[in-house]
Amino acid sequence: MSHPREEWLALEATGDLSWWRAALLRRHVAACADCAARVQEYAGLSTELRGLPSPEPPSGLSAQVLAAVSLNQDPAIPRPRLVPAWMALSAVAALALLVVGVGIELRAPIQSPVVVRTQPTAPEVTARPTLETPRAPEPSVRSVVFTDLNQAEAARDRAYLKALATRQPVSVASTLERWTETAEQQQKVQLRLLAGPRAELLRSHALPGRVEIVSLPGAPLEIVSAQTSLSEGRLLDPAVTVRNTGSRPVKDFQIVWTFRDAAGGEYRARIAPARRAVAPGQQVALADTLAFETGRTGPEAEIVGVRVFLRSAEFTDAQVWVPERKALEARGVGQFLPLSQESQRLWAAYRRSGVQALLAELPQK
Amino acid sequence: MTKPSHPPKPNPGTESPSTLGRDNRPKLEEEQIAGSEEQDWFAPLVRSHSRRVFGLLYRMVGNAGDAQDLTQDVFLKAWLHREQLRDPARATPWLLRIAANAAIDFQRARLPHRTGASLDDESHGELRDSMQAPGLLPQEALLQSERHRRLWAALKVLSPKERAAVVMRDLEGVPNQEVAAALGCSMITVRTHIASARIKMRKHLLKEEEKGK
Repeated sequence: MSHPREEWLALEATGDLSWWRAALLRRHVAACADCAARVQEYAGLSTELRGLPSPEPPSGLSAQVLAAVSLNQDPAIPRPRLVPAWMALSAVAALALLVVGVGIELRAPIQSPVVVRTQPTAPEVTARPTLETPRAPEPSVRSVVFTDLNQAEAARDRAYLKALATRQPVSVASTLERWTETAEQQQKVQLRLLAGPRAELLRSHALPGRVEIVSLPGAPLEIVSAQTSLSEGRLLDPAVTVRNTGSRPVKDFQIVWTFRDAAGGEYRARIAPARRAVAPGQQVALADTLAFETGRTGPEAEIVGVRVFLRSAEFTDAQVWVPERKALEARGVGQFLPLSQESQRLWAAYRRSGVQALLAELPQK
Repeated sequence: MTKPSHPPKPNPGTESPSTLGRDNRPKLEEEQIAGSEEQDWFAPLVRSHSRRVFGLLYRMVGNAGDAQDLTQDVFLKAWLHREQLRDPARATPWLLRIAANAAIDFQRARLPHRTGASLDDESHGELRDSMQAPGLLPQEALLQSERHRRLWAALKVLSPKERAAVVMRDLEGVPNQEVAAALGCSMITVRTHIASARIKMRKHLLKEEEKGK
């Protein structure tokens, strides 16, 4: 008697065989005790597997996952519009009109660190659909009312790109492309909250990592020291100490960490909002209990360099300091900042209609 | 098709809630997360699925530490690609697919000797011992524990895809159609993986029994 294939017996045990093969097999099994026993054996194996106890997840797993998710929000992706496009554009246009209307003096592009005034709430504007090409407030305005850090950075980047367009028009597109590419790569970097015995094990094997402090001209805060440790391709527990070297009290600031792997790639690890005030002359120490990793394994994933710099400082008098874009680019850290909405808008113009459209968005006067 | 009720992706520059500060270490409390409107949709999904995702991953990689790390990765991937979930009713197979792929990638990235070691490591033993059925006599519990150890060891001989198929089908009770979707292959291929897995496991168990005699 010829016996059916072993695969058929294995699948018949749980009814996974196609109906016509099952019919053939059952006719055989009815007359073959060996094959009937084998089907029973496979059925028993499947039942036993189903009976394997389900492991209890570690306590607090959901909370740990949610905390990790909250740390990994991707800042490079813009929030989709919540209001109709025409309404948003009209509001921006009206704001531009308002700014011009109050007689703010137009000057050459800002060369010093950008300081912009913030307001607790956005100014109330009336939509006036009279401007044909509404865009963000001009960066060459010496003092413009902004509502937040994003607007400050958008204005700074626009000023930088505009100056670049005057000198080297072709390099505007390549600069935007480099910023965009780096922003896209950021999604691959993950933060992991460390907890439990595994975290302790990682920490016990960690070695101190050397951190390069990137100083930026005009910064009201100085990063006086920075430490982290490295373990199995992870960057653990970054900590900084900052001192207010200026005369103005700082309400809050943001620190950016980057790391370089053995393959030569450098990534932004984290933008950390401090939520800490620093009085003039005061020194403040901050520490995270986190791990950064790329999700890659092997020798190339090893972290070989870590850098840290100041992204912004908000003063108690509602002004925001952001570093000059030229200084960020000169130190090779400009691409690690989130792509501002203004840069995204310009990049979209370039992708849509080429370099001429991009330059048209950046008038050279 | 129903539209997901989840909110859009975040705004540039508003990266995360603060966890900096020695006196302000990361709180693993849900209140910390609940502050974000963005995550109001995601948090219940994590709470309702983390146990199942962890269970699947544990059974695929065979150790609690790796399963815990991978659970974080799975939900992070889900969060970063949340726009792919068009129908919230399909959240379970979507998450299982991400989990299966994460486990397969993890196993492939590990050297053979590391994968082998993980299924017999201490954390696995601790979990196994803590999960024995209540009401068993000590001798019965010992026999059951030994049988479970052999089954785990038999799972270890499978290829990552075979293990994924058999874990999802036999241990998790996932229908073949969803296993196929999770593994990105046809139902015929899933059946081939399952048959091959059962044959390998049976042979392995028989060999072990021979050795034990």
